[in-house]
Amino acid sequence: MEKIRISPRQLFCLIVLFELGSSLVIPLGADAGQDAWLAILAGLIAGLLIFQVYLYLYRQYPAIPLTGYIRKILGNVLGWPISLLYVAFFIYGSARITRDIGDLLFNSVYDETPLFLLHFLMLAAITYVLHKGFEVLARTGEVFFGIVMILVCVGILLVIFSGIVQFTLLQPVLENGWEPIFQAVVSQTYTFPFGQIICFAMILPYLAKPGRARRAGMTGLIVSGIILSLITALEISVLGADLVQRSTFPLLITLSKVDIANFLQRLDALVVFTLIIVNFFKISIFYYSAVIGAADLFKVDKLRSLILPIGVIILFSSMNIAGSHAEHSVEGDFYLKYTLELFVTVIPLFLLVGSFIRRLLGNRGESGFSTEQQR
Amino acid sequence: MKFIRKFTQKTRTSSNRNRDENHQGSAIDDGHRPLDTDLDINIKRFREETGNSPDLKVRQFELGSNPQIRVAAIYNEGLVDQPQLNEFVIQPLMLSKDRGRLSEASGEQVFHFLRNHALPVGEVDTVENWNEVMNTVMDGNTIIFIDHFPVAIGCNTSGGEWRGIEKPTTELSIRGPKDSFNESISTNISLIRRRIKSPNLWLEMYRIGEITHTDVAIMYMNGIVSDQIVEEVRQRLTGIKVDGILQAGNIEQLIEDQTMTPFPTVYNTERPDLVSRYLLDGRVAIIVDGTPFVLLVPALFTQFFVASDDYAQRYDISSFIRLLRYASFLISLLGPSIYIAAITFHQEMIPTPLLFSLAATREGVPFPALVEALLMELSFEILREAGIRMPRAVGQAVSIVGALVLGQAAVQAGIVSPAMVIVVSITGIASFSTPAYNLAVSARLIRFVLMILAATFGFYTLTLAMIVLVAHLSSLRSFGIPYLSPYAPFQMDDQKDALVRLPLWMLATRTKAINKKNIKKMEPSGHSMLKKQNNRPEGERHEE
Repeated sequence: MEKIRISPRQLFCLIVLFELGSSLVIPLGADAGQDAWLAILAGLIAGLLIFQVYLYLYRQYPAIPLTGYIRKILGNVLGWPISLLYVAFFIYGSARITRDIGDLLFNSVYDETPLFLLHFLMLAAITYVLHKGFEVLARTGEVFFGIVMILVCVGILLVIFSGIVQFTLLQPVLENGWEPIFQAVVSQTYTFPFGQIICFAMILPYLAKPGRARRAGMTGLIVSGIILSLITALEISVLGADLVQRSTFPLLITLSKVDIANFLQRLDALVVFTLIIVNFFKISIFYYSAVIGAADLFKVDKLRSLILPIGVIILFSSMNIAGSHAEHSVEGDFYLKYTLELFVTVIPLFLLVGSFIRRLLGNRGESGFSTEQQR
Repeated sequence: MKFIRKFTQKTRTSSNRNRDENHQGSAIDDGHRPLDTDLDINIKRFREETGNSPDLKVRQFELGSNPQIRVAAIYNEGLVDQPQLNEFVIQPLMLSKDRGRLSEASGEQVFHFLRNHALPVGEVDTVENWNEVMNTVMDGNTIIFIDHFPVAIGCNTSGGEWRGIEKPTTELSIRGPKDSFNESISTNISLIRRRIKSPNLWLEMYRIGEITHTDVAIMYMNGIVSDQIVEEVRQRLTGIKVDGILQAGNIEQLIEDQTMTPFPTVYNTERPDLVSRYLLDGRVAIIVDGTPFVLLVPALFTQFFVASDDYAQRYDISSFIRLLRYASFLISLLGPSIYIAAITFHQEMIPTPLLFSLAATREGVPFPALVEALLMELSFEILREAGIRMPRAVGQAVSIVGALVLGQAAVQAGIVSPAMVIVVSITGIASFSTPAYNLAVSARLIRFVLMILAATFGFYTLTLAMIVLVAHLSSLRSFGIPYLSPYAPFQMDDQKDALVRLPLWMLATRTKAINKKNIKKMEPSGHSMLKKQNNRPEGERHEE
């Protein structure tokens, strides 16, 4: 492992940017109708719970990433393939988000630009930054955390001041009881975006103060959850639940309705700007998780040498994962319901059980586990 | 250059050692060859080695009697302080009352007599080899050779003409002090010493440049500055092996952390007050003989937005002006590219009435927005460069041509649109409001890249470019200190003097990113004084 140290504050900023990535524009928790904002908060709670599992595993193995302790817990024979799956999962994740932003840009502005070029530019920028090192990404994250927060606040204020908000559209609250909310949580808001924090199981070993991981992670999740919930509530109260549900990018439509003094109009550019920033960080973190995982699995000493190859893989898979935006969306549903569920919940829970068993064995003092850990 | 010691209260052995090392490094063949005992041979050799240069004067005397001992004074006409030389070296040699003592004296006795009794100058030195002879003379000091003795005397007579202390020409201020550095290293050091009257202001001298032997001084506040930084500066300076250092810019480029960047990682200023301020903030000043700019390391990005006036005015005004500077830096960086992107790709972002009028003005323009912008920006850059280099007398002609031809006529001829002229001129003016010229220049350079990116992919690449730019900035380090601190890594305590400047009484600590020890710079009493002041109105009310 290279010597990288990020501060808890940087971790917090990265988590917020990561959680906002992609999820900021799409209709989140739309299955719950006008209660989508509640579904997000419920998803947040579920996400916080699963985050405890990752934190527990992190405390057991504070020096090694997820792919490392999978093999420690499950043994090399079972653990290695699963770790490899995680690397593939991270690569797919970053390719997916690259495609998200590519499709958005292609559909909104750059309809004559090849999609490949849009993806290439994004990944080229990310590769450059990652090549400078993860610390540079973390510091850049600190700067852009501030910028994104300002943009989000300005955006929310502008929507409110333009007088298009009807809070009555949020009523009735809990029209059909809690069930649709649970539906939405299970099918989406828990895994996406909150469950995706599994990426940080790869990043956490770099934290300078391991004791602060919990606080930084939890506040990061909560802050991003509240922002997402607020924005969704705002979207619904401007557009109505029905329109939010049916549109691809409801936030874009919401902000394009802003018109203040005939001068501040068409602020959807603000959204696209924010989205490029947050997606940049989300792709970077998935990307870097894949790099860490691959380096860990294939015993590569220099992480840097893997950045470019994995970047190329992401670039081409971002083109090949779907033939069209429609296909991409359909695959998205499957990804949310099954793929994410498997990698975010099922495997970590197995690991949790496995680590309990290991611990019990270790307490009897008959396994080489403790020495292995020291090594 | 020993006369410098006059200004130093601490003589550092390390600088002495360094001087010797430098001599060894530059030794040509037999530079360490000792002097000959015979005066004529010495003079002949000196003449030969300096190519009989007529500005190097050799003045011979005869001392004592029975037998007479010949001595010779050698000096450089232009570098010595002539009155001092005449009064304290030549005169005593010729007219010394104690000459009687020298009857039947040997060369060695003459040497000791001269060294200890005859020369009423501040500094006298023993010179034993040719290298030292040459250095002494080239520094503007006088060498005295003595017949029959292989050791010479060097006396400090250096002087000569320097530009006086004038007003700063590149960093103007309204309320701040109006003196600036000049080309003389001793003057520059004294300007700083005059502001910080502390024995803890330490100075180290180096000679850099195998041929030029340029004097380079580093100054720092002992007890405040971090030892690591000083050590790093020392190492980088002594690591320089080059034939000539002609100005501080050369040193800057040889010691900076990262060459492949458009951003300056070494700060320079011609204002002694700013140097003193940063010395107190734990930085190291590098003063180079012959340059009216002093280098300061480590340099942070925020530092380039600070002007001396910021601390002369009240905090609210300073903060506003500093925000304005950041904004204008962004404008000078992004102005034309945002316009190009909006016109080329994102017309929908422009409010409709404005779009109509823009479209109307662009109607007859035969170029795409990028070409138009490049044309205007390039001609503006040319104008600016011409403005710096041209003789003063033709200044008016150039500005008339610039304003009329490039502005009005180009618009009237339909080559560029008026909107573009506005954008370019705002950009140009904005780039002047960055206090540090070298940062403003890097914005100018990056602007062109951004313009091309904006014209090819619009706001998408512009946003990506901004992220990459910030990432690049945060990857930079200046002498080990992250360049973008206190923004990234975020440093709460340093925010008080970064984007805005809070009231002086709140600036109670030095920059934390740089200083590890001796953080506090203001006693609590300073704060309570302020409280007392705050309470005064109440007291006055009591009296009423």
